[in-house]
Amino acid sequence: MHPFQTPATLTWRGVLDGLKISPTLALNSGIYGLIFGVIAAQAGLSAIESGIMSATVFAGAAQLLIVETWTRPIPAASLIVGLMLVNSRHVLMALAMRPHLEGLPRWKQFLAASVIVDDNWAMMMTKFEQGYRDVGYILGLAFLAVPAWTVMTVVGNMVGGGIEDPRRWGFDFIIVALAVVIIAGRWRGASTLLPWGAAFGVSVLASQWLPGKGYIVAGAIAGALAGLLRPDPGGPLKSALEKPR
Amino acid sequence: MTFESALVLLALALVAFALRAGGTVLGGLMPTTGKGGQFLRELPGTIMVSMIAPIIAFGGPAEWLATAISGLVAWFTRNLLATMAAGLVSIWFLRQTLGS
Repeated sequence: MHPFQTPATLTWRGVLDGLKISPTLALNSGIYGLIFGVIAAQAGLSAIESGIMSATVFAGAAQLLIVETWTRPIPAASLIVGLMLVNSRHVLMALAMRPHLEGLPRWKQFLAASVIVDDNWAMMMTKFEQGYRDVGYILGLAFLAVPAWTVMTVVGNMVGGGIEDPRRWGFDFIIVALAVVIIAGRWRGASTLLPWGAAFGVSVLASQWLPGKGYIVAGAIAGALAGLLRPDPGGPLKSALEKPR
Repeated sequence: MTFESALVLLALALVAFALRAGGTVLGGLMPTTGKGGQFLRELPGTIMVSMIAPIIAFGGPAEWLATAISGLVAWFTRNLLATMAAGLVSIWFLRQTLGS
């Protein structure tokens, strides 16, 4: 008894589906990449160094933390610890995505998970929960966004000048709109307020104490633990996770 | 680029990859039933809430209103692009008019 109608796949069809949405994400990534490049230049990183970092790390908050603590000689240990702190949420995000990758070869699971960022993960999870089964989608989403992020990092680094605040155009709000769609889809009655209320409170408090985006991990774990106090609400993930092995 | 910075960048790339790909391996070892399974199922929602909670909490009336408008559109349409459009247009308009 398979919980999904069809098994997980990774095909060009899925990549193309993701590519259709990718320009929206690429535009956002490009603008932030430009700003990151400027900041990286001010921190003393060369265009090549910041470009390589954007192409391989592609995580805005973590990279910002890295360049802000980048001095000569390079404090490698604290940079790595900072990256692990800020990006530890990626472990949770890949973990939440895992049931939808069941049955795929490990290298395909790694490939799909290796491009996770906040927005493409959110969009991939939305598709999964609508019954979509092709993990190529997240690769398509990243296909333009990662190069845009990288190229604009290099451009920003070379230009090194100022740019208008992306806040003015509301681009910082894209992640809120994305999250709201997911959140609306995951509402399971009033008891949902228990995990989400805990997550909200703890992340707001933790944002004052933890570096970078560590508040996301703190809030997510606290919220999920608080959720254990309510009856299991089930949902699309439940049958997937409880299928016999 | 110095040899030192090349080494550091390689290490950062490996750690970033390990955190993302490693989650899928860890996921395979995680319990899928009972409280462990429920913990896993609670995560996507609580990650999303935690991601935006400080933006909302430390935002102003423009952020609160735009979040409410996005929430209404999301609730009634369940459509990603419609919600994103509503969120972006409303935050742009509200920040222009309310200032922030």
